[in-house]
Amino acid sequence: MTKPQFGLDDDALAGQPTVYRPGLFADRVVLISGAGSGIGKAIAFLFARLGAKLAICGRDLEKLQATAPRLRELGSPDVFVQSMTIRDPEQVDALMDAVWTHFGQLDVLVNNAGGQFPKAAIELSGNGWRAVVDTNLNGTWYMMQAAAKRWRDHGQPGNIVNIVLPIDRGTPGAAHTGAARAGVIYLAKTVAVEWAPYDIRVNCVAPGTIESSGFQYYPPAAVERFRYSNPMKRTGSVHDIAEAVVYLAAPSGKFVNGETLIVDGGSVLWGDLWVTEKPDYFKV
Amino acid sequence: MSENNKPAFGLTDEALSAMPTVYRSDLFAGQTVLVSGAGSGIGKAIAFLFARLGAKLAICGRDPEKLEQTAAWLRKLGSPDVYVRPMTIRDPEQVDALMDAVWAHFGKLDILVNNAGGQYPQAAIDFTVKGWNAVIDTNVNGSWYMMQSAARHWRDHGQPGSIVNIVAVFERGLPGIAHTCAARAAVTYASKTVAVEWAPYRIRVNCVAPGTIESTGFRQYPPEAVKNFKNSNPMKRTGDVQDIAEAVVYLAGPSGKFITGELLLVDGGGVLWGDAWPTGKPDYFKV
Repeated sequence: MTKPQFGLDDDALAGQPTVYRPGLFADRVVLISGAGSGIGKAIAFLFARLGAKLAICGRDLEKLQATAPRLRELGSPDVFVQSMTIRDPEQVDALMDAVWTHFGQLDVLVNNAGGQFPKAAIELSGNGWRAVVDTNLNGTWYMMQAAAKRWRDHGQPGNIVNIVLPIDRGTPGAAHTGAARAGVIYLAKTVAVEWAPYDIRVNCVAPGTIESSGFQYYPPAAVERFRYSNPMKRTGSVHDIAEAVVYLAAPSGKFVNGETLIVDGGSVLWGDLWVTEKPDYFKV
Repeated sequence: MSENNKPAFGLTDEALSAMPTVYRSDLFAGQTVLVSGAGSGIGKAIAFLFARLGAKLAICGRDPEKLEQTAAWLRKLGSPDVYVRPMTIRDPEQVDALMDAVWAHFGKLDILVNNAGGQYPQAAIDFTVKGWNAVIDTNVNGSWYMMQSAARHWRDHGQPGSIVNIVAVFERGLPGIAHTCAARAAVTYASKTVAVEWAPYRIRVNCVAPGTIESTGFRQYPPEAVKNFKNSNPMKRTGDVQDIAEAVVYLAGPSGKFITGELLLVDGGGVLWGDAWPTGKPDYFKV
């Protein structure tokens, strides 16, 4: 495989040092959406290295099928692949049933699937808005609820980690996803309470500017300035997000619930992230 | 408390040393960690975990006897070098002397954990000036002296640093401990501010906010309040000191290398549902 333009190639990703002990997720089953590329793939790689059985889903079967053998090679004893879209609640239910049939259990759900495109809010079309809200908010909700219903019905504890964004200062140039991710964060807080009686923990990780293959969707002039989005003046790595997800999903997070862990190099405190080219007005 | 008697609250040293951990055993090999208030409770748990992960440790606190007892455990748990210094963080000169001594002894410092602090439960209306000042002085001023002194040493040596401050969950106020609520909010926002100011020095600054964590510290609250502590969060249980130690390691270690200015709540969701009432719940709020 040739080195990608942005982010880590599979070998580099597999060789990232981890703080966690080997075997941490032995006999555990982890479902990761959007695991075929970028942050989702990094999360799947780390769980595989820690011994988890994995279910991975996404829209692109080919990418998933390319990821699965790597996961086995890295130490996952069982990898289940299902191509589907989280936008369709019936496909979500079918996925959850398939995971329970295959593994007989599910321990952790990582809602990573999602995405957006950069666009000034004033130019957003109805379709564009609805597509982003449908995937990020509705799709994530279908996954959360379908997982929770099965945990409740099986009398099993559960654990959800949603990948969102730092939304505290708004998300200029990506209003649709800012709204959708804020929706997911507050859904998570709400059901962290409602589902506590079922022994289900729900948390979020908010990645700031993380270098991944996803950078290719942004204008080069914007990408060049991404490192100024935080006081550390650099971008994060997909592995930073994977380690955050593991912290929350593992026993280390057993008393963490309803929390959003921001992994952004401090961008909510200083810096400007423009995913479109920076408008002249803000060049100060 | 003798070493082998089970404490009324929290874990014995043996139990604490055997808590499962998610981290790999050599994670902090070659690293030096300074933990304040390491003689008991959460601070001891943090020191125990870093020792098990191979860190060299500097521990400080006011009670030399407690520190020496802790130090013996830390060596046993795998810390290759343990430096003990009794002192109070309230005195900026003692703080500077501590930092100088740590650098003299280890030649470096990688991580500072500001855990020392404390409060007593009392209705705010009854606070004395002296009581208020004592809590502010220890929790805000003491933590600040430690942060600034560590940062100056890192800047002057051209070395990167990582600070984790132990605070409290202050978002919904903390009825019955208003002084510490104010103090911990101050530490958190000092942290967010210097997370930016000190980014050029490659110093990360983060906070962990423990909710209701069962430790020896429970002793200072009225029994009826302690009985209700499990209702302070939707999980209807208390956390353990290891939960906090693992949060600190997560932020302090390479896992947190892209995290700065962050406040990690480890409270079982207490900020979203539940009431702690460390003074016992006033009749007015029994609804």
